[in-house]
Amino acid sequence: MHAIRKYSQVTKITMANSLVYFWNFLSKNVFFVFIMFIYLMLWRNIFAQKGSTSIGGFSLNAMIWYLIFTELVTLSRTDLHLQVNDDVKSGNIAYLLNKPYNYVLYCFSYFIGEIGIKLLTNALIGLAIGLIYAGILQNFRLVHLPFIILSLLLGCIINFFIYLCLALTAFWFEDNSAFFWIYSKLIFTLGGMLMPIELFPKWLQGISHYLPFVYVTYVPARLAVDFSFQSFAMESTIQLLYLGVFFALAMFLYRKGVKNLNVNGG
Amino acid sequence: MSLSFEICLRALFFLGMWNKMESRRCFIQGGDYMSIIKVQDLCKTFKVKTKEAGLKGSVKSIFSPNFREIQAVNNISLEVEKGEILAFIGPNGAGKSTTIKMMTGILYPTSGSIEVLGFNPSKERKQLSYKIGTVFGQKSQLWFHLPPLDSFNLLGHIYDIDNEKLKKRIELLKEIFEIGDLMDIPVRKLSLGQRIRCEIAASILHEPEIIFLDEPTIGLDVVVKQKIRELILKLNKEEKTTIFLTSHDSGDIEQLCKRAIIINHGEVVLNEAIKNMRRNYLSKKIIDIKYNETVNGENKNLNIIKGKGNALKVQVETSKENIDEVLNTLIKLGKVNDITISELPLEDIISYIYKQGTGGDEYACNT
Repeated sequence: MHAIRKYSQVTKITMANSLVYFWNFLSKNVFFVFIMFIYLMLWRNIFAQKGSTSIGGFSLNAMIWYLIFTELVTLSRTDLHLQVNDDVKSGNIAYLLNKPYNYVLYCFSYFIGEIGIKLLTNALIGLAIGLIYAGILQNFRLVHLPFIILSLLLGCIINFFIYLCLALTAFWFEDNSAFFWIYSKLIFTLGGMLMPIELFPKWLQGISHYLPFVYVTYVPARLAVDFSFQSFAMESTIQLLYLGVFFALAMFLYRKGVKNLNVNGG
Repeated sequence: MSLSFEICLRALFFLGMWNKMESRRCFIQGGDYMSIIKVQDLCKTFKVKTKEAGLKGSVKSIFSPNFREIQAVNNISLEVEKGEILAFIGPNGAGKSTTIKMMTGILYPTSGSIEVLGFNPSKERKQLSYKIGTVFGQKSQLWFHLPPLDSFNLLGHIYDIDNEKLKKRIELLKEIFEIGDLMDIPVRKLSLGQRIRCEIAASILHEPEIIFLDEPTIGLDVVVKQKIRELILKLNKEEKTTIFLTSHDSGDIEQLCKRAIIINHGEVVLNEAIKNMRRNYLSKKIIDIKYNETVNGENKNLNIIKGKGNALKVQVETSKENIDEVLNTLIKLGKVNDITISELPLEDIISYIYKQGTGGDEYACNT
C-alpha cells in the first residue's frame, strides 16, 4: 500500500511538473501536423498511381489513421531516457540512489506522469488532423476504443522500457547515443511507421512479427484501424510478454550497473 | 549423528542471526553502543581510461584502450559518535565525497567495512536510507519548476510518512527554518540561500539520525552562511541529529564542529578535536603593535614579519620563545598605542596539515 502511494505520488508530481511545459508540448505538435501532411501527400499519390482503393488491405482513410496512431506512440515518447543517460554519465545518478525507492519503478512512475499529458495533447491534435485530412475513421466502433487505448499504452510502455534499457547501458559505454539512433530507425522501419508491415516482403513480415518493434507502433495502430477481439487478445498478450522482458532487463541492467558505478569526485 | 550435527549447525546459525539482530536493535535504540558510524580499512579503487595525446593516441585507444587504477580512498578508518558534529575535510580530490558515497550506500567499497547505524550501506541501502539524510550543496533534490511544498509532499511519501505526521513535520520545519513564506514559490524563483534552507529541511523531513552535509554553504554570502550554521547547530541540539559535514569553509568547521578528520590523497592525515588542533598547531602567535612614533624594530631577538612606520607585526614561536620576554622587548621600543595578540586562522592550520600530509612545503605564515 505504501509502495503504491509512493509511486503514485511520483506520477502526480511529474504531472504537475509536466503542466509547466504544457504549451511547449502543444507547440511541438506543429511537427505532428506537418509530418502527417507529408504522409497524406505521399499516400494520396501512391493510391492515385496504383489506381486502386486498397493497398495491403488498407484504404487511404485507414492508412492515414494508421499513421496517425503510429506517430502518436513515438511523439508521446518522454525524454526521460536522455535524463537517465545523462545522470549515469555525469554521476548525478548517485544523488538519486540514496532514497528508499526502486529507481526503475521511480523512472516508470515519472514516465506515466509525463505520458498522460503528452498523449492527451497529441491525441487531441491527432484527432483533429485525422478528421481534417481523412475524415471519420471507417468501421470504427466506440466500444473498441478502451482496448485500442490499452494496446496504445502498452506500446508506449514497451517503448519506454526499451529506451530505459538503452540509457542504462551508459553504465558500461562512454557513448551510447548510437543505440538510440539505431533503435529509432528500427521503429521507423520494422515498427511499421514508414508503412504497414503488410507492404513488406513476406520473409521480412515473418521476421518483424517476432521482433519487439511491431508491438510498439504497428500493433496498436493496426488494431485502431482494423479491430478484432481475437487479434487484440493475441497481440496484447505478446505486448505484455515483451513488456515483462524489457522491464526485467531494465531491472537487471540497473542492478548490475549500480555495482559498477564509478563516480569520482564531488 | 549427521542429524544432530545439522541441528547444532542450525542452532549456531540462528544464534548468530539473533546476535546480529540484537546488536542492530541496540544501535537503533541508542543502547550501549555510542559509535553510530564505524569505518574500518576502507578502500576504493577506480579504473580510469587513459589516452595518449594526439591523433595516434586516439586511434590506439580505440583498439587497445589503456586503464589506470586510481586509489580514491586508501585504508580509511574512523568512528562517529551519536550526536556528534564531525568535520570531514580535505582538499579537492582527497576522497571526501567518495567516502560519503560509500557510507550512504551509493558506491560499493573495493575493500574494508562500513557500518552505519548497524547497517551495511552497500547491502542494506534502502533500509539505511530511512535513517539518514543527505544534502549535497551543489545538487538539488527539490523540483526546479514546482514550489518546495510539492517536493516535501513527494519526499514524505517516498519515506512512507503518514499524511497527518507529514503535515505536522512540515509545519515544524517551516517554523525552524523560517521557510513558511517560501513554500508556494517555484524553486527556480528562490535565492540560493532560501533554496539551501529548503534543501536541508527536505533532507530531514523523515527525522534522520544522521545527516551528511556535503559543502552546504558553498556559494553563499556571509549572512546566509551564518544562518545555515545556526540552523545546523539547532538541528543537532533540538533533534539530536548527528552531523557529518564536509566543507572547504573553515568558518563552518570552527563554528560547528568539535572534531575534525582531515584526509588527503585518500588517507586520514589527522583525526583530532578542534581545540587540540589549535593547541598543537598554534604554537605560533602574531603580535600586532602600534606605537605613537616610528620605531626602529631591528632586533635579532624579534621575528618581525612586517614593519611599516609606527606599526610592527611580530611572529612568536611560543614553544621556543617566551612571549613575556618578546612583549617586554616590544614595549621597550617606544610608547605603545595599541597591541593585539592573535592566533593563526584555522584555515592556515588546515592548509599546513595538508602540506605536511603531502610532504610539501614547510608552513609559512601568510598573515
